[in-house]
Amino acid sequence: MHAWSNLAAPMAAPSAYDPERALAAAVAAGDRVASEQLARRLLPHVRRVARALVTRPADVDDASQVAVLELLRAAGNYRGEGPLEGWARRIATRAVLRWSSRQRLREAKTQPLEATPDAREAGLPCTAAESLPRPLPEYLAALPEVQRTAFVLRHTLGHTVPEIAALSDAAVPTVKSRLLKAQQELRRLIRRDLALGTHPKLVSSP
Amino acid sequence: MNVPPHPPASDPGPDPADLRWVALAEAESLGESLTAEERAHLRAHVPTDPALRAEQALREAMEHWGEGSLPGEDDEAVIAAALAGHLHETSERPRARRRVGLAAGLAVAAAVVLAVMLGTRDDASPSEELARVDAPALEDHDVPEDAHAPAPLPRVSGTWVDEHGAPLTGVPAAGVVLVARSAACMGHEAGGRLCVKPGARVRVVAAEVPALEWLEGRGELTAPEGATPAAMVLEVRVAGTRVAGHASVVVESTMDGHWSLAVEEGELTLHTPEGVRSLGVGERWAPGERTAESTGENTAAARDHGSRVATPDAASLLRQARTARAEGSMADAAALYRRLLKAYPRSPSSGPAWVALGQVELARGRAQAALEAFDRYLARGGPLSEEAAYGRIEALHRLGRTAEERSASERFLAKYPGSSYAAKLRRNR
Repeated sequence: MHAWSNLAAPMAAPSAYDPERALAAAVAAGDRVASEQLARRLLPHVRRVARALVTRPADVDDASQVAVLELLRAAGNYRGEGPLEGWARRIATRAVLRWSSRQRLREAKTQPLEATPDAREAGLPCTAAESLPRPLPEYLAALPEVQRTAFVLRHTLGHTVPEIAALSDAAVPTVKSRLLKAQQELRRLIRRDLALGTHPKLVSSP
Repeated sequence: MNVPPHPPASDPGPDPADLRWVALAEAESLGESLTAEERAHLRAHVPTDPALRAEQALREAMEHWGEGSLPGEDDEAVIAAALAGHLHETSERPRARRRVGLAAGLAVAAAVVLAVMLGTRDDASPSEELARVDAPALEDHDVPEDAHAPAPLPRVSGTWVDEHGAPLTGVPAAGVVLVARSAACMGHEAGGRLCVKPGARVRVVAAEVPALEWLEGRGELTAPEGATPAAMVLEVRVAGTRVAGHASVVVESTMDGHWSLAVEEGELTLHTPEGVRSLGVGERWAPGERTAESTGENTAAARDHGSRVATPDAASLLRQARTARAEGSMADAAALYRRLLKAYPRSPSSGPAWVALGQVELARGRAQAALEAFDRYLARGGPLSEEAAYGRIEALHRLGRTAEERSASERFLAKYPGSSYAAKLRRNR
């Protein structure tokens, strides 16, 4: 039993997640050791969310940092009603989406960065990656932001449609429409690439 | 979800099992419940349609998207910075100052994470020291040798090997056949040079007075400014015919040992047994052909003229063009697409080839040629009209035809409001 276990709310019903709840309570109280333990435990989950959702791999550290900070801030809200990791993924997803949104606003006022090879491709299974006419990041980048986010939340992070609706502040039919359009657009892009052959990106947009 | 396993037999369209896979994939994406049999079909079916197979691969790739560490990820820095921010917030410091600190921490370059939230260095802990990560220094990368680099021209450059794979050392001996393993050149400072792409083959005819028989491959023949063929120190032959000039050329051997030569850019002078002739852009020559330009409709006409050179079939040309394009050899790709369009104008490949040619020409900076290619496709229309229309806007932009570009953009947005290109166009309005 950790030293901070007795910080859990005394009136709460016993659950399998009491140790996690105690840890979260200690974090909320500003305990450095507990905070570091929570951060280390959840960082791999946060990173997965950030790698999947941010547009550029170079932003993963920044987005992860913001998301971990958000988890530490929100620790007092964890009620121990489910796995800590599941709760953390939802918080991290919201944090990364908010951070990405702010980044887009900031970059809209400045010159966008040039596209560079995406190291995230290295994590894909060879057979899947090689079967695509062009790298996966280029397909995802071709989707409108809301469609791309919905598609990643569904097919990479495994959220249900209602969860995506809650995470992205959209109605369920809207999310379904985004998912369907994303899938149809990806299919169209794949057919285009098979018809034309792959090619480097057009040098600049008009 | 209830998708019938066997659609009506009268359906003449695509593979019914593929159609079912598409329906199930969409249903699964939208969170509809599938039966065990439907899930099994979605998992096990291998679509016959190549596009659907690629889509299937994309879905698989999506499941693994974001797995695995990225180079340069620094867990300690992230944890230290987040802890610093959190512990600062749970302390009694004013909140406004904390936010300023966080903003400052995120405003730095992406590769640098700074633990600035705690304020003074007196507060720093050992873990906060870890939060300072220096941006990795840019490393010099080997720059691939440019086969078309300007003078000074080395006599021999790049990687040449003989037919047994032994690398060339010193002056090549007469009679040796050399294969370029990289972009490579051979020539003379005073007398021009032949620079070829990987895979090209040449035979050294004479070493002392450089003469090369160009057997196969793509490359550029460059004569010194103002030099006449007779004055060139380097002599290049193709199938025994002396070739001189300043041109981007494709020399292609066929399986039956014959040759053809096509000019992509510039102009060549051919010294044939029948006399001297010039060969311009888009023209092709093969020994035994009566005319220099014999890449008309298919090979039937060429055979009627006694040509011994067979034009590759449309699929083969398309494959070569795509390969060249994927390798970034845009000049080669453009030449191959043009050849395909000229030889097989009514082939099913010709539509996509016009769009691909337009994109390749754009990548080469030849906006006018690109515009013409896109217009050719759009005149007939087809499933790639969106791509062609966007390419046309790009070409107009580069040509500085602003009014036409604006008008074309408005038409595009009206016709394709949900296009992935629409956001870019709206941003640039």
